[in-house]
Amino acid sequence: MPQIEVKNVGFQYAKSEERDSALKRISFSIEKGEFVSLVGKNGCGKSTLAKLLNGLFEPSEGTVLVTGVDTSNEDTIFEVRSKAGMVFQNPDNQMVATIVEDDVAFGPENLGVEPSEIVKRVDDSLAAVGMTEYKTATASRLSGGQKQRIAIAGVLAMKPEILILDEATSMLDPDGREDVMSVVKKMNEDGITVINITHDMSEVALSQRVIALKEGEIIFDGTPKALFDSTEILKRANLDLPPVGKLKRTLVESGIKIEGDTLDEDELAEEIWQSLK
Amino acid sequence: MFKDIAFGQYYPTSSFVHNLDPRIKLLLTVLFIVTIFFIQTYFSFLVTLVFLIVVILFSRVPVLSVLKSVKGILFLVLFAAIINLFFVSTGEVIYEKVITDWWTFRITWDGVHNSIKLTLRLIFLITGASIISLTTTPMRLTDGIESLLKPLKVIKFPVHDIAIIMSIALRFIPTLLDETHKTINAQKARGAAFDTGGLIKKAKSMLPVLIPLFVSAFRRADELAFAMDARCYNATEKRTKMRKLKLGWRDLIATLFVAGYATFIFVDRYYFLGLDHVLFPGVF
Amino acid sequence: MAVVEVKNLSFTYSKKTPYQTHALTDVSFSIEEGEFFGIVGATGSGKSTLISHLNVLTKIQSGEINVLGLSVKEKKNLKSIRFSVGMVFQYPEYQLFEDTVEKDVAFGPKNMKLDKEEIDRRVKEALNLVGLDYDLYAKRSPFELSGGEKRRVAIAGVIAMEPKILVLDEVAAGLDPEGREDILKLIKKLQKEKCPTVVLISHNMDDIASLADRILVLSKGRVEFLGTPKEVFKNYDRMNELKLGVPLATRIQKKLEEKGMSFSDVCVTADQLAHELKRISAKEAENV
Repeated sequence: MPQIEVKNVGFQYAKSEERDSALKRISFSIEKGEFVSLVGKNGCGKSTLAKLLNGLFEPSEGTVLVTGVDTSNEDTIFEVRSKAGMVFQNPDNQMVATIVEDDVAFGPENLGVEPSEIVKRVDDSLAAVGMTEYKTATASRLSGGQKQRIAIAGVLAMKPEILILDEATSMLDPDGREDVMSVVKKMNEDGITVINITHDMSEVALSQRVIALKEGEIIFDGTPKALFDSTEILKRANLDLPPVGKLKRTLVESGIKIEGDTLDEDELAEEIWQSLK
Repeated sequence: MFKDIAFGQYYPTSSFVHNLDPRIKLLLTVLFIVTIFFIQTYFSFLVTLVFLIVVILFSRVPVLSVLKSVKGILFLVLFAAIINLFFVSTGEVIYEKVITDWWTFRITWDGVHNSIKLTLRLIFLITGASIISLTTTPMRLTDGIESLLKPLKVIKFPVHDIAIIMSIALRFIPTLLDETHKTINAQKARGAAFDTGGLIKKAKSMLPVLIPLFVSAFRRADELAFAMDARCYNATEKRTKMRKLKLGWRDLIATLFVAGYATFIFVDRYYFLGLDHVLFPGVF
Repeated sequence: MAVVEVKNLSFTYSKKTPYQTHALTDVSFSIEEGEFFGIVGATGSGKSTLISHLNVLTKIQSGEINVLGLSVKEKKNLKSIRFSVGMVFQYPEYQLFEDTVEKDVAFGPKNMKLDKEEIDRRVKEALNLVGLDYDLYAKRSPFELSGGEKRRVAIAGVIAMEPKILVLDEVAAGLDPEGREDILKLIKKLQKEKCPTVVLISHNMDDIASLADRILVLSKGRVEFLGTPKEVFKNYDRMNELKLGVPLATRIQKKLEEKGMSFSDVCVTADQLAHELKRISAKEAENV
């Protein structure tokens, strides 16, 4: 059984001005341990979809099953939310407590976890995101990247199986972005399913699978490589190549022959080296 | 900078005072504040000063941080002191001048003493209040208040929700102050003037700051609500707390210490009827 | 001619308190007329403090700043400096407040006490320049526009003041790839058609390398480097130490050099790298 099943899901907003972020009967499933990127132009329905995956929104039609549990069922909604944790875009708007450790403890406290167990989970989660030394720091004084790592720790403390990132790196500087993504990659290696909504094509290149949305419909579902190989789909989804791909395109267009189709910097250098040797 | 406003800002370190139970700290602070209104003699003020110095030493908070919060209300203190100086007309007269036939400007010894005592009282009050806020994280403070209010749950008072609201308000104060500062700068850069014209014009000139702030506050509230739901807020009636509040030996010592201090103040006032007469004969 | 001169600028926050921090220490540089000037630095390096000095949002403590020959220390210069330095802050759409796009763009010009015809002319021109059709957008509420459109309205509000120097802080932050590209194109267009002197703050070394004539690198409030992109990014190791990094083309060049390829110049853009590589391959062909 897939970990997440989205079956014929449609969603309409009540307010007309948000109509363009609606979803039109889409279906897909995600297996345990996958690292999926969700891409598309602003307003294509990505964030709506993310909120459907952990029951923050209820589908207007169709069903969403997370580990077999229907997200529309109010009795089990908190089971879904604790299993599919979510990190949002603005680091400042998802912290409830002034002090780091209190914020991380918020999720397990809500779930009624034993205090001694919460203490353990907070310590473990902070260690996992490399923020142990900031345990008693004032959250508002941290950098954006640090705040997002705290937000991830807050999700980890609920012992989730799925981590959903809703443009979690878009407000960060490159340094903070790198820190957050390396934490996310580690989570994925530890077996947590990752669904990353992003505009950053280098983040897409890190994932195993990309789902591209346009006007509420899935227009692509496959590997990053297949996406980046298809100029037509990239164009339709208003996407571009990751920086390495763009650089290579410029080189090729100006007449330098490069074999291979890597999106990795070291490998690109190697390919150039091979072609000019 | 706005982020550095000392009042209500926690000073992160570990100390005897930091580690006290927040409920005990709250109750002892209340006791302290009540007590300072019973102080009658300069000797008691001296004792209070020594008491506060001991507390600050045990809190390991730099004296400067404490004084910073006092600085914030200095204007208020001076204002109250001056009012007292001019409007207390009992006691031995120091200076007198007839202004009109119905009002004589008069400074008396009683007025001077009243002003000094009021000033000291207010300064000590703020010092006491800032010690608790400097040594207690807002979260623990709300924990303490929540726990003290628990009996009210019986009458269906939403104690926990109130505690969360307080915690979030505290959490967002620095964020919103920072945003206010940024918005003011952005509008100033567009030529906005905030300090000219009459009251109505002034109020109107604040709109370019207030509207973006409101829009942003609502957006933040909206996003925060999603973030809290995503982290299972309201999942269970049996919400737990990471830190169970537990009384320890420290709390006993602190209680005895503060109670001892308070006892002295009351004894000085009601038993010795003011030790100043005994200790500083001739002066008072 | 230098339009901005900064000499020995130092600034300390919360002086004489336990929170005292030196935001800027002895910063000196000048910006020439018509120059595209880049400023880079890690978070907390003093960039924001520096640019807020340029139109006197922060009061100068020590050193000197002249904008178009006017000293920021003179109170009488305040207005004319504010109106000649246009500031587009991070996420400028958060400063929108009027109920129509037109009124919001007119806010700056109105504060300049221009007459009505001139304000209307500028609003129209500014909206068209940022790519928002005046007739379609003028009467709409800025709050119901998309993120990218809001940002354009905010930029138009600054452009309508017709500043001599345009300062942009992370102007592409938070936009989708298409929006990013559009905004960067817009900046180039604005420089060409409206305001030739541009100061751009960015974390994106590739953007900075391709746009800026000269770059100022700040680290802990001090000037680390000041020069052309090539002069700055040849300091590969130091730029990495500062957690700023170098453009992708420079990284690839470095990797190729490590393999034994020799370049005659530092490459900071894809085009430069392509040019160098072609030169190298032509030379190889000759040698064979």
